[in-house]
Amino acid sequence: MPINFDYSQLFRALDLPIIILYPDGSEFVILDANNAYLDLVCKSLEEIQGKGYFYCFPFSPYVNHHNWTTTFDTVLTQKKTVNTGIFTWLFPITEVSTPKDIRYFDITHSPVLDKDGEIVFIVRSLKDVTKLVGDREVLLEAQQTAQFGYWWINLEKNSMYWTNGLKDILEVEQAFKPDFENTKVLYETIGDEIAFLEAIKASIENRTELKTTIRVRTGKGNLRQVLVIGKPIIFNNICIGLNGIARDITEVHGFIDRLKLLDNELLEIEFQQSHMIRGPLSRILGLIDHLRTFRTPDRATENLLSVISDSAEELDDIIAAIVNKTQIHKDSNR
Amino acid sequence: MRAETSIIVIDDDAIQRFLITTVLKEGGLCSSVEEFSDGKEFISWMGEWDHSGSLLLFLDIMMPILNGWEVLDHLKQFFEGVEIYVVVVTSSNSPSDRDKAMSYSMVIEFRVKPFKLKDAIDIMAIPKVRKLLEK
Repeated sequence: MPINFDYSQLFRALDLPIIILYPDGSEFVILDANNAYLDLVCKSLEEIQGKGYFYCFPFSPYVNHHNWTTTFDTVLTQKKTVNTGIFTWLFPITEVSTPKDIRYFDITHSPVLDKDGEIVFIVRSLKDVTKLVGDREVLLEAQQTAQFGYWWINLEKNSMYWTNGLKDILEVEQAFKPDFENTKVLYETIGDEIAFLEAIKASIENRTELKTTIRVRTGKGNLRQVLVIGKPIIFNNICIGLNGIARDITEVHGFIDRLKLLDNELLEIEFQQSHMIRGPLSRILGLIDHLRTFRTPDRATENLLSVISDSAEELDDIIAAIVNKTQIHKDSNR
Repeated sequence: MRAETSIIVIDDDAIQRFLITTVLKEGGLCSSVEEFSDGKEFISWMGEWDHSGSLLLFLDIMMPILNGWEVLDHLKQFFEGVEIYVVVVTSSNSPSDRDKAMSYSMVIEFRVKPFKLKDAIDIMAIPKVRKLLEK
C-alpha cells in the first residue's frame, strides 16, 4: 500500500470531467483539467493551462452569452458549492451531428477556501446525466402521448406536486405550483371538489386504492374528465401522503356517449323493423292466407296470390335477418 | 250452470282482429269472440267481469293507449291466480319480445303474425287450453 499517495493521479483518472480555476480579477485562470474534461472539450492541457477560461471558451453554443460570462458569479458571491443546472453538450464534435451526440451535464462549481474563508480555487465538475435526461424526456413524451400525468400529495407539508404531463392535461402553465387553495378553481362544481376530497379521505382512512373520475375546468376553460388513480404512502404505519397518476379520459367518455347514442338508435331501428314495418307486412301475409284458406281462389287468382305471398315472405325474411343481427349486437353488449 | 270460457281478441288493427277471429271461429276454437281495439277497453271490461269462467286472450303487444305489456302487468298485479291464459299475437319477430312475453306466467304461447289456421290448431292442442274449452 503506497504511503505517499499521489492525488494528481487520482484527479487525472477520474471519469468525472473536472477543471480547476483560479479567480484572478475578472478572469478565471485554468490551473488544471483532468483527462475526462480534456476529452470533452477536445483540447490538450497545454492548449489551455495558464490561460483564461473565457479566453479558451469565449462562448457556449448552448448557453446565452450573459449566463455564460456570469456563470461563476454565484459561487464567488456565496462561497459555497453551487449547482448551475443541466446543460446540453454536443459530443463528440464532428462535422455532422446526430441526436445521439447530444449529451447532458449537471454542472457544479465548488469553491476551495483558504483559512480566511476566501476562495482560492474553483472546481468546475460536469456530471454526465444524459441517460437520466433521456429517460425523463421519454417519460414526458409518454405522458403527453398517453395524456397522463403523475401527482403527489404530501400530507405532512400540506403540499402537492404535479408533473408537466398533468399540467398539460389541466392546461395550466408549466411554472404553476399547485396547492390546496389554487387548485380549487379547477373543479367544475363544488360537488366535484367534495366528491374528490371524500375519495381521498376514504383512501387515506381505509388505506385503499384511490380510483375516481373528476370533472375539471382547465386553465383554458375546457371541460375535461380526468381519471385519478393513486395509493396512500405509508411510512412507519402513518400515512404521509398519496401519489399516483391522472389520465385525461375526456375522449373515452365522449366515445362511450357516442356509442350509447348509436346503441339507442340501433334499438330504435330494431323496434321499427320488428313492429312498425312488420305490422303491415303481417297484414298482407294474413290476408293472403285468409283468401287461400277460407275463400278457395280459382287457379289464376291462386297464381297471383302465390307471387304476392313469395314476395311478402322474401321481405319478411329480410326483416327477420336485420332483427336477428340487432339482437346479436344487443346480446354482445349485455 | 257451468261457467264458460270467454275467448277475447285484443288488437288495435281491425284487419288483424278480423283475421284472428275468422281463424278462431273457422278453426272450431269457438263460436263467439269478444273483441277490443286497445288495452284500456279490455281493462275497463275486466273491471266489470264477474270472475265466472275462464279467459283465453289473444293479445297484441303494440297498441295505443295501453299496450300489451301494460295489460300483462295489470293482469299480473290484479288477477294473479285467476284462470286467465294469454296467447301473445304480435307482428314483432324480435327474440327479446318473445323472451319477455314468456316470462309472464299467464302467457302460454307467443305467435308471430299472421295468425293462421295452423296456429289455432296448435293452440287447441295445448292440454290446458283443451281442458279449458271442454268446460
